[in-house]
Amino acid sequence: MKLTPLFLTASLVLFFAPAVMMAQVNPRYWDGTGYLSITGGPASPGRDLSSTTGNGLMANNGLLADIDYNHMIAYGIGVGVNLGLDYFGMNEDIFLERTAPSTYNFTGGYLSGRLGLNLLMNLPVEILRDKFVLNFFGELNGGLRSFTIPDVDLNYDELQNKYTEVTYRSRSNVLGYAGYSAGVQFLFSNCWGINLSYSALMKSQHRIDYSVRAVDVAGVVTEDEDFLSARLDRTGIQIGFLFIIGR
Amino acid sequence: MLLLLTHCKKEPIRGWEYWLESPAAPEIVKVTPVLKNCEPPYPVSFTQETNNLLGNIRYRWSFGDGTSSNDQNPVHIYQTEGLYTITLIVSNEIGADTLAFTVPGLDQSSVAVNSKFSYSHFNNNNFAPAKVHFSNESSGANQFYWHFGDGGESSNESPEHVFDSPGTYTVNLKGECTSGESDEYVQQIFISPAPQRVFIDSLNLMLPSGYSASGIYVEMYHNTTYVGRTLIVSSGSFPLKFRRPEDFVYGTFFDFVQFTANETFRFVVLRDDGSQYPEFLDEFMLSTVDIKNNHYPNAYYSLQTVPVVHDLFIDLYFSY
Repeated sequence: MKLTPLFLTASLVLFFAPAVMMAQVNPRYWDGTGYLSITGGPASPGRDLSSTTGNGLMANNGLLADIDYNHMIAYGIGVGVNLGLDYFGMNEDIFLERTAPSTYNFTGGYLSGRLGLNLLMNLPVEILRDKFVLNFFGELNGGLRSFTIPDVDLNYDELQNKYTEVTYRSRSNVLGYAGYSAGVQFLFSNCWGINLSYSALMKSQHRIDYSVRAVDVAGVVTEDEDFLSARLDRTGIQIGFLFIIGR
Repeated sequence: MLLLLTHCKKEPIRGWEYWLESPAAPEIVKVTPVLKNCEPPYPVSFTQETNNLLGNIRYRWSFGDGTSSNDQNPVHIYQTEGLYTITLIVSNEIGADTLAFTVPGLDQSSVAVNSKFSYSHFNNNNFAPAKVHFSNESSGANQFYWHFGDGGESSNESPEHVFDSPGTYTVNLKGECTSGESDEYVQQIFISPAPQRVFIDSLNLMLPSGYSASGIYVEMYHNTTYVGRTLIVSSGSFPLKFRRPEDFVYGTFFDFVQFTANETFRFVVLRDDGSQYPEFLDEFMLSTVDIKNNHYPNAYYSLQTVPVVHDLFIDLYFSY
């Protein structure tokens, strides 16, 4: 017999049919329990962050990582805390096109740490009771985030630029944020699970302070404080594990 | 509420600011012509002062009598008196500056001999024994006779002389031209007694912001002799402050650096990163004249003995 798509589809339906037939939405599945999740995945900077125009921050695609503890109160409604990190590299080629230094050094990238609270709604579907549960969830989160820029060191020939050394260093920046995530969790044996979700930080404009130190050919040092101002939204995929606590 | 707060409108969207600015073209500050005789032929020395000396600097002198030179500070002989317009062009890859001028007295058949000089202490140090550099500012003369007041003599145009002992010296310059006409100029020079020792009370160290402030200490050398080092102080930011005696190994030995003359004090900035050898970060030299300036960086950028590109601030005190 040939493995046609029709045959494959039929096989899958027949295989899962008993489980689907036994599936039952159980809104009280989570009552009084919680979970710890550790996730990570690719992240995409928003328009201002990734823009390579004059006002853009020239961020490349990056990574996100999150640790959450959520406690469900009743009927799938829960609250929790979130500790997260977003990292985006700098598009060095574009930056170097604009600045044209003789030599350069970039250290790090755009780095943002997050500490916030979660408010979440779960819709658990018990496929195999006490064996396998699908949990659809949506989550709102908000809190404080830090944001730093990469360390940039540029050196110029004395005929090329008045300033032969230019260094950029981040200042401490603490900002507010709001975001959401939504996805599905595959729970096994009421003990652990796999998380797959979409995450987004919403558009909000912030000021990011940094300092510039420029040295001219005579050795005269100029220190200046400057800032970036941009919407720091981003999207990403969270893939990871969760561990059920209290069940 | 948080969502509303994060959406508060702030400054306009703003990207990176680039510190790009074209370097300045050469700028002629002044030209000092000096007649080196009191009658034709007139040798004239030209000394130019130009700012923004970057890249390949080229000098082009046109002396107004059909001749020219590419020297930085040329001497040109005018066979006859006349009203000559001299042009100097200083250029490099960035641009050029031009100055046209005439030389007073060059159109006269004879000029007066006028002797004059200024002087400067080597490293700005007037502690005995002190080396003094004399700058001859005479005009109309081409032979010079110096009497330094301590028995020393010279016939150089701009000599250097070492005064071995402290005191007040009367320096005499006699300028003479080919006609025999002459002029004398007298000036007193004071040479100070040397202090007996240098007392270093504290050391404030400022490094570029890119440096890590951990593990940094300073070693001190008197000429080539190792004197001692500071402890590693804990600080999250610059300047790092090393205070006496608690921040110096063995407390107080920096008190007894003997002072003689024209010496150097070398401060080596190192970082102990736990490896076998410390990491060298920077070093800077101070001459004794720097030591006498109680606070830095009062005269910091004008001293050639101190590297100018690093922010190294140091508080030093000396005592007799």
